[in-house]
Amino acid sequence: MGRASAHAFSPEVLVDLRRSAGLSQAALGDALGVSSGSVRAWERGRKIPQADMLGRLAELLSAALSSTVTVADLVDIPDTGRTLADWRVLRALTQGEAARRAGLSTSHYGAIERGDSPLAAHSVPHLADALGITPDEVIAAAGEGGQGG
Amino acid sequence: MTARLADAVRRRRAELSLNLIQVRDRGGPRAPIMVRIERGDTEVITPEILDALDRSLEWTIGSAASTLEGGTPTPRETAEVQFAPSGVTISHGEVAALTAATFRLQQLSSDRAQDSDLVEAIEDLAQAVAPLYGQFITELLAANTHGLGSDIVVDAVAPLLAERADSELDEGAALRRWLAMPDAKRDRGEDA
Repeated sequence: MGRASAHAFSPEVLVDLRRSAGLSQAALGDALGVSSGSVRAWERGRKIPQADMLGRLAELLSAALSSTVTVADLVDIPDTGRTLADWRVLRALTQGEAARRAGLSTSHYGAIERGDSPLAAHSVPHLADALGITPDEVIAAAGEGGQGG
Repeated sequence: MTARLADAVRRRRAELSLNLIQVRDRGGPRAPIMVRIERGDTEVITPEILDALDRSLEWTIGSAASTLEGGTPTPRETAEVQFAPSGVTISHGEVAALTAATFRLQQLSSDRAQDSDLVEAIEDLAQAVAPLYGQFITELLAANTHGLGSDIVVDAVAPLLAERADSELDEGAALRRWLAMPDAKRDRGEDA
């Protein structure tokens, strides 16, 4: 199994924390502006919340549990060997938002993330800013990309 | 044998009513890792993870590891019911301040003896504080066998000890009182 961000979401964590917060699927959906059907689909692993939605989920669960829930609690991303997609998801950014912050087109950014487009030296500092990581981490992450799918 | 650990972890977490964030906050594995452990996934198990499970699930050290090999985890006696100073760290200054404030309240209440509720409440406070400075002085004595000199806690406590020189305090307290006297006074065989 690859560990691209799309596969890293942990439905069980969402179920556990939602129940612990005393929220129904409908109540959680209402708070996020999505249907209870969407919440159900996330919890059954049929659909994966977008990165920005993960950020909002983390915020909402933090407030509901009076604790600090981060995106890193909701997705299974390792501490080492992170790809650009891993970092982006941890920062709760969609590809479009990460691309905008880095001053790239979404398709160009997506190609870099997949390893289809080489990482240009002049993009490194922009990507570092966009993802809130160091230039070295950008280069390492780009080297990890394209392996897990 | 991993299903055994997975079952034990799930059961223990339910028993302690911990959500995945609370496990993490107790030094346990991160939430997605916990999920994988509870699913019976062996890939994530490392010695560090096993330690983290013992820590966060209140098992004795080595419990998670032995469960993995077919054993049974041993619950740790919880430390949560213990009182200070064993359970909570209280500084020297805090003990002194608490004790001094209690004594001041007792003095003030002696002028208001008609207010029995107040007097009673302050007595309750004094009794609650007594084990704190008692324990403190015992430890201090163990470290300074030649009397305590002008320690700030001893100074704060002295009036309280004098006040309660009668049967109210236990034998240990009387001993501490005696030990807390300056050397010269003790050597002369004076009573506390």
